[in-house]
Amino acid sequence: MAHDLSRRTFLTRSGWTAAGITIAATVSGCSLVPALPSRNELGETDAFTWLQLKPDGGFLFCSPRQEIGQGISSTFNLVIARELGVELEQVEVIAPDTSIIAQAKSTVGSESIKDFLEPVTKISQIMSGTLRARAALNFGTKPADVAFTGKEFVSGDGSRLSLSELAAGAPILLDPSEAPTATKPSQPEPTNHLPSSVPTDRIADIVTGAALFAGDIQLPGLVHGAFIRAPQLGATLSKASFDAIPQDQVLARYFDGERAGLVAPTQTTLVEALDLVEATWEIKEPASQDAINTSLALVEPVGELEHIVLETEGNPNEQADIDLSISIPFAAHAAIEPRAAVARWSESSGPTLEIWTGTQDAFYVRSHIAKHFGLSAEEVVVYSQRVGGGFGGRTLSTVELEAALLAKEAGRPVKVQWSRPDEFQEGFHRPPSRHRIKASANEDGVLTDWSHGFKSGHVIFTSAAMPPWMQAVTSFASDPGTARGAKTPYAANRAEVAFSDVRMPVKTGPWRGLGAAPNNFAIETTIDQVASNKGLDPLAFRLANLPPEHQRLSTCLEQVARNADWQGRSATDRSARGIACGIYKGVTYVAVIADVDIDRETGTFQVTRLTCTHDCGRVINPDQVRAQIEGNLIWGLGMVKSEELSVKQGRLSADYLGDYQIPTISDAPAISIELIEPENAAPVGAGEAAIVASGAAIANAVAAFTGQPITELPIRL
Amino acid sequence: MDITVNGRSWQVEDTVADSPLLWVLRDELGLVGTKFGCGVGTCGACTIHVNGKAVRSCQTTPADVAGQDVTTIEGLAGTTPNTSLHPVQQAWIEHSVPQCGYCQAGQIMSAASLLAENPSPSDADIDRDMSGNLCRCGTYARIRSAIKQAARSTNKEAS
Repeated sequence: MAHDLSRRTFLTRSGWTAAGITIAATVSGCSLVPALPSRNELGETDAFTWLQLKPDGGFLFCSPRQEIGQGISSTFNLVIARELGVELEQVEVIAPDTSIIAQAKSTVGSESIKDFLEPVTKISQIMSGTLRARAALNFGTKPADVAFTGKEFVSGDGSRLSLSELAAGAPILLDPSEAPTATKPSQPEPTNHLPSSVPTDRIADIVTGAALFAGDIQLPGLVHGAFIRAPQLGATLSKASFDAIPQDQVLARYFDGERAGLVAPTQTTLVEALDLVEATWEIKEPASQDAINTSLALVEPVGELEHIVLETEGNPNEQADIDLSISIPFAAHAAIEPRAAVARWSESSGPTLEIWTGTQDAFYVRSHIAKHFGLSAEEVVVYSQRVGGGFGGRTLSTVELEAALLAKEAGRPVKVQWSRPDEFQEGFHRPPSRHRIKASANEDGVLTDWSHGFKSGHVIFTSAAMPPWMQAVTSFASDPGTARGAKTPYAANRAEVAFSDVRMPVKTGPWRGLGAAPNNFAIETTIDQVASNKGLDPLAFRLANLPPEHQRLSTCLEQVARNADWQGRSATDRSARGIACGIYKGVTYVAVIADVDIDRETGTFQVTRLTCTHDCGRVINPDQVRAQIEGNLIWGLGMVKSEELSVKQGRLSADYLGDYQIPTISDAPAISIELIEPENAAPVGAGEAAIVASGAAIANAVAAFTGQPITELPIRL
Repeated sequence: MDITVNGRSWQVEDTVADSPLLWVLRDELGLVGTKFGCGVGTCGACTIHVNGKAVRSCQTTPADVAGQDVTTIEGLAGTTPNTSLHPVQQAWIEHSVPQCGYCQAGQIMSAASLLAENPSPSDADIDRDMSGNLCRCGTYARIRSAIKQAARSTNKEAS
């Protein structure tokens, strides 16, 4: 994919690692290069640090993937228990701290199953073989003559050895040098009595309110800290006075010329004291939505946009049947957990700085903070907590550094809990985009011409993570996050897809599905219009124009049509249906039919049912895959129905969830999902796929009702 | 001053009498199951019971609840006799409702309060009563199913 992404091959590989390496090579001494998110590939022996048999006879799996609600911990639990031939309860899955396992890459991109199932399966098999070999040695017999009951090894003569007896007081770890000789256990496996699905990890703790999240951390002497916030985007702090704060109200004051913060005994006194800081802010050029809109305006021909995604020999015809300009706004992650971190410095033995946080990238937090304070990576330990909603929003290091700065100033452990306005004003957001798509079909219903040009803010090479000089360097490169999902799956003889990324005055970055959600929305909106224009059924038109290599997508479409009894758009004076589909990251296939009730008088609509077919290959933990799809369908709904962020009076338009409306239970439709598992299809991701089709299916239903395509989100009737 | 939380009397300093109860529960009493989500009563993550009715603890103070019975997620199971979990908690596990789990304590407290008032809620009743409890993971369909199951199991128990 990467080779056809960019006309300018300044950075030839996609992703952060490539950017880091390339830039490091050009800057003498490298000291200017900031810590970058972890995109390192798995080392050959990394996985050997993940699994061990504890002295008490239980297995411990130190997960290389953060638990962000995607259910990966329980899925690993199932996989490991199957391979070892033990009960689920015998395997404990934990989020290890950064000192325990080899550096793991960030938990992004729906990669946990695609990239980690194989190594997790392999080390489980190696562990199984290692234990059997040790038991055999103990019995003085051959491994093949040893049976395993799930709790004990049994020799031919009936001698028994439990797992804890085998461990003999010390954990059994895997030795990479033994790897090549390890074989699959000869016992019948996997154990067939294990359930086919396991529920959410730590569900009993969740429903009883046990401490699981960063904000729940309690330490002796823990106090509360926060920074004052800029009143507008891009404002810089020039002066801060703490004089108005009563001496005994706060424990520490922090001002470094760029930021000012406080530490107080309680959250309540902290919030009161923050209001008393007298700050002077300077704003060079206030951000404005008008300026953003102007920067996104598509004025040049597609061929003159910076990055080519797709280009055929012949150029698409300028005169097209359908010519749509589609506008998609900023969007927020709006996780219900506002981020929080606890930091503790120590002068005694052990790590110099400890950080407790919920993050998608614990190793990036470690390197970012170590670099800031001039510490080695080993001097900083990050304890990962469960994340109260990731969605791409917890990929950078923000609140963690704030906690570390204030804890140092206060000389005691400090918790920084972001407020809801902090989440909106200080976090990063999905960039806005503008799309122009021209498309035509011939009299036979064959798509002939496809021209898609778009402009978007950055997703990966973003100001949220990079200093200005690095933004300048990377502005030559095609942002792979912005480009995701931009290539149309439909065959057209003459096609071109290209885009330019535009620097935003708002911090932007990855949001569920990255560019794929907006890009595929634009594609699926247009395809529907081309079909309507020819008087063709949108399902039949899609099927007729998908090339054979996308047979799995065609299958999803055919099956969703059967499941929802598709008989066309079926528009009445109060309801309509819409259909859409898509391919996520080239590997996950999804189709959605939306049933929508519309009230002309009130100008409102209600999605009553979403029917979805989903093919992510072999499914390991079906209920968790379904849960991810349900979430994606609701995200698509929110994206088209209500979610919108803009710049107003120099700041983001939302401070609270009333200003930025995510779907409520009243918006949530009935959902039916079918998982399609083609034979021998490798297991891939489900965390960000269905969002690419659900929004467009809903919008296409509304368009069927009004007769007008939806060209601006959120939908306004 | 004294407040009663989960059947137990706790002494809290008079200085926090007018602070958000949310922070008193979490930071003074160590009951961290009640979550902070917005601080202005729009997300429902901090939902607790006062005399069995759902209220937002970020909009409530210790002074407001003096002499009343406060229940948090940690004490919910204790409000139903002879069970280790409240029927709503049980249904939540059976339907594997949570994804990230952050909003779920608030969802469960709202659902338990709804069922105490309306033992057999319709979809519309559930939507109306629960629409102030936001879930970003999109677990709403499962929340509806779990509430109905909890209703069935409670009604069966009672009959």
